[in-house]
Amino acid sequence: MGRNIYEKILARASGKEDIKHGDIIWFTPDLIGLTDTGWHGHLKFFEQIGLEKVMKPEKIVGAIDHCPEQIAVPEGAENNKIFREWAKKNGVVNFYDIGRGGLLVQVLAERHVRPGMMVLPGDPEVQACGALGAFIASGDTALAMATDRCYIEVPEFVKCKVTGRFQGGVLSTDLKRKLLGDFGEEFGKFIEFVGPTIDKMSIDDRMNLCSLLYMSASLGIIAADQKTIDYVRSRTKEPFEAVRSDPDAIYAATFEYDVSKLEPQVSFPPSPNNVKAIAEAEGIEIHEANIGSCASGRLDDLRIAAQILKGRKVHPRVRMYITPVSQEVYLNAIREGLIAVFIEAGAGVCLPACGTCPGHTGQLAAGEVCIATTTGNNPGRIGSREAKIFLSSPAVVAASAVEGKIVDPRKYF
Amino acid sequence: MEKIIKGKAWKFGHDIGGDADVLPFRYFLEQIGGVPIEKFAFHAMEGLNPEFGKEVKKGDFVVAGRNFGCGKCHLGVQALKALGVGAVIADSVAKGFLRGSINDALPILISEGVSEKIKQDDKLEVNMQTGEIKNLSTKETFRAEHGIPEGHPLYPIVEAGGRVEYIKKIVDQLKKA
Repeated sequence: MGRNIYEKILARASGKEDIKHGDIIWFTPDLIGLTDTGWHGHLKFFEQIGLEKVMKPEKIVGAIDHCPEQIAVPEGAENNKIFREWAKKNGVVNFYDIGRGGLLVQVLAERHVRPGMMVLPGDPEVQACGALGAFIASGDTALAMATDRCYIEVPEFVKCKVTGRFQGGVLSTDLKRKLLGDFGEEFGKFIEFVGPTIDKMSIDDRMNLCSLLYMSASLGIIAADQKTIDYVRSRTKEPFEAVRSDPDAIYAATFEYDVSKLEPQVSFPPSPNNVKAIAEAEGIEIHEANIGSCASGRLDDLRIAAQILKGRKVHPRVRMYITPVSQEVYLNAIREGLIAVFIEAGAGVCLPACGTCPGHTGQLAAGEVCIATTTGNNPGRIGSREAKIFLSSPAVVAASAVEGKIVDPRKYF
Repeated sequence: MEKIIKGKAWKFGHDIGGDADVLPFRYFLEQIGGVPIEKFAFHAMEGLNPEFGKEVKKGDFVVAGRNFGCGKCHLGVQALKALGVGAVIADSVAKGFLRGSINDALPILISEGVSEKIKQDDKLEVNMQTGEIKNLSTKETFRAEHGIPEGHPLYPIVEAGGRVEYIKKIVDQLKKA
């Protein structure tokens, strides 16, 4: 009987051939991700369990990305100091301090994740790495660091077949947002994305599609093809297996999406799953426009924003924050002249960080409206509870920044 | 795990909700403020029996009907554990609550129809290894199954006494190796 890509990767990592929905399976992870959140608590816990040194420090990848600004609240200099010192003491060589990496998800993609790997994310932002054909298996990170083992409860696996050609100005992020609306917050299934539209997507667009935060207990994966192999090979000589689903693999359900008529999508407050087509948001005046986060802010996102902003100005009422997701993306954007476009348009460009997503940067005052490519929009997330946050693609955000209100970006293409 | 636990039965009905009843969700917010669970666990079940949180003794039992702990459950398991509840005995237990019981090693005993054999204040003697329940007040004896039995992939965590104890045990073993 055929197996899908998730089952194959889990079988290798666990040594278990028979994998069924509902099973709880112990496995050995290939990589463990860590961000800079909660290190006072982590240190206390390690003391409680008597963990003096992690088992396999070479598997750990750490990045300071929630608070690289080292602001006073909520985490700050003390927390990051604990993380830094702990990493050094434990021999964690893959530690990306401020100025050297960026968001954990991006440094993992740029330097560590390979197809066929079983990755413990440490933070849901890492989901986007499913685009590289790796299994991003959420689980007990402390357990894995102390024992080199972890467990997962096997969910249902579904297939999402994507066909059709995106209209100009419509992106993979819009498809992702459509799924957030259609499948809802409680989806709880692991998706394999297939189809000619997926084949044509860039690595950046695939990563944006697999960033499924706010579909809880859900995941996306795209089996490695030549594009993935070329991307990974350009960065490492380490071996990997480009695992693919068997032709007769079994899925609990198959969904088909033809994107040729897909319109830009917007998540309305109060939740990312409150999704409507752009027409319903058009005309809403905005005060802040943000591009960035683990869901967006990759080079392709910056390119499309620059396409719209080139030769234009950010609307006088609007402040715009653009956050590349890593130093590498930032440098490439400089080399391509994108950063100059942003500055000339009157946008602010930020240090790679979660930044505007959790509201460490760019808080909103009462009555203000923000449109962003970031992941969350619950009231009060980025400042006043009386502010409104709409979520959409970088094309929508850039076009809206120019016009001072939410607009359909397709006219710019 | 202790072999024999003796205690009083605290009887509840069917479909007891995790965040709704076991520990009302609003008290979860106290933990976010850094308050330890021991300080507010006494609110457990207060909507159904206001005496429970105040009078429950270590080794007492929560006895319920079907679908115990249904819906979302943030701190229900931890609250019952902090109050010293010896075990939850129920006709059936919600899947999420059962999963949640593992990391805190809250024993769960399940047997269809068991709730009809126990009433409020009955004195129970439970053999935690065999699942045998002696109702000392009615003189009846019956058996229940562990919700997380030996052979379950996560039984080692329950057997060790919970997540912290389990990891600590392995860390100690690895240090000696």
